[in-house]
Amino acid sequence: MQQIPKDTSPRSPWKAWTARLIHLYPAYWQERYADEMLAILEERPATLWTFVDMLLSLCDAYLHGNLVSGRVVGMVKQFYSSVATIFGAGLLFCLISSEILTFLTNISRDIPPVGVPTLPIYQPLLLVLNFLSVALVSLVGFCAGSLLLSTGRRAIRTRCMRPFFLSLSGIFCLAIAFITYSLVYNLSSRYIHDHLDFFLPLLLLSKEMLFFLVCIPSVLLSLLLVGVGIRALRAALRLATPGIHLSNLILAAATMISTMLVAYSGIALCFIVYSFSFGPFSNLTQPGERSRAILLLVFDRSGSLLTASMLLASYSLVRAYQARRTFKVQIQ
Amino acid sequence: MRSSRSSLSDLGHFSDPSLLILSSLAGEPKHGYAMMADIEQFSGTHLEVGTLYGALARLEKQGWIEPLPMVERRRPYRITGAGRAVLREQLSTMSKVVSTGLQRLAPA
Repeated sequence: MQQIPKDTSPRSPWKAWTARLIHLYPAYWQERYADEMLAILEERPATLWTFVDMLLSLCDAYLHGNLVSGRVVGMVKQFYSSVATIFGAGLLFCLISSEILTFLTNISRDIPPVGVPTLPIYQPLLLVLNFLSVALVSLVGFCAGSLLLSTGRRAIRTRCMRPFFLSLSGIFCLAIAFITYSLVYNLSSRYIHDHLDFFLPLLLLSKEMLFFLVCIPSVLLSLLLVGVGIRALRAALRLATPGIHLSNLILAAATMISTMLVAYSGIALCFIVYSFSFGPFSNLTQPGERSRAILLLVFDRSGSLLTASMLLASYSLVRAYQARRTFKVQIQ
Repeated sequence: MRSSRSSLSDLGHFSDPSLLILSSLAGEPKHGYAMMADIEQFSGTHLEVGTLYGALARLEKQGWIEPLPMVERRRPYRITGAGRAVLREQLSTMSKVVSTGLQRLAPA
């Protein structure tokens, strides 16, 4: 095969714009042709016409979706990667759930006895904050796990470390943002606060001073970092796994959150049943009292959690059904 | 008039780039950049990347070319037997057109 001289002309802006267009192609097209197209663009001078031609080709790729013969293979990969992601999220949930139980135990220990069952739902705000913090950690963890695995694999295969470092930096940004946020709002940071109580006097600082001097700028910085982190993760995702779409990640996240909500609601309902059978509510003998207590507990507290979890679970099911249907149509 | 068999004209406005690509691949397998350079050399036509890959995707779908394993981010393509037959048919039609046109242009 003949050797082709490389383009040594100065890099034109059209080259960069045309290269960006390649990332807008459908995932299956990118999977099949993106590397080759980028390699050619690196070696040839690009003009305005190159850009316009690429733009027309981009429209053509979307209008003629059945052109690429590897599409079915791409869809199969996408399907399997979604399933793997969801199962990965489920596994992570199992690992995280022990952490949730620890939170619940700590919270119930702090609640003074008030003559009602010591349900975690009697401190709803704290519990919701703790729940959200765990959900956030799980989401970052589940994104990190699947993304790092795929970027690492691709980095070894293509000998290109860019997507791997991008995903690493994105996850790092999100982790810093989360720690900063938890410092200020006491999101399940009992461990951090215990250490702060010890270290602050040594640094001649009070918690209020820390809040104004460190935490507020940190929160602003963390918001910036969240933006950077999400952007880096998206870029890494596109570079590393053209087969995995954002919709699949949303589906996996929704599945995981709904699983956690259902699990929590189950625990809460067990507490309710227990309190009516053996706890203080077992003293309520009048039918009216008992039904009011049930209504209060079920609909006012755990009912909202159950409704939310059912809505999320329904959404996950619809998305899963749609993905399966699309997959079947593509196979046919 | 359209023939019932599949031919290059079925590819619409990609038929001309496809003819050039098949002609380029008739000699030996080539990757995208080598094809562009070869086409520019023998026909004077400058193919852009978008057009090239639009035509390549169509030719691959028709089974007239096939991809070979990738070598350093470049994937060579090879013309298939069906591709050769289509190219031969198209070139013979064009040859008839050329000879008829030239005959008619010649002074009586």
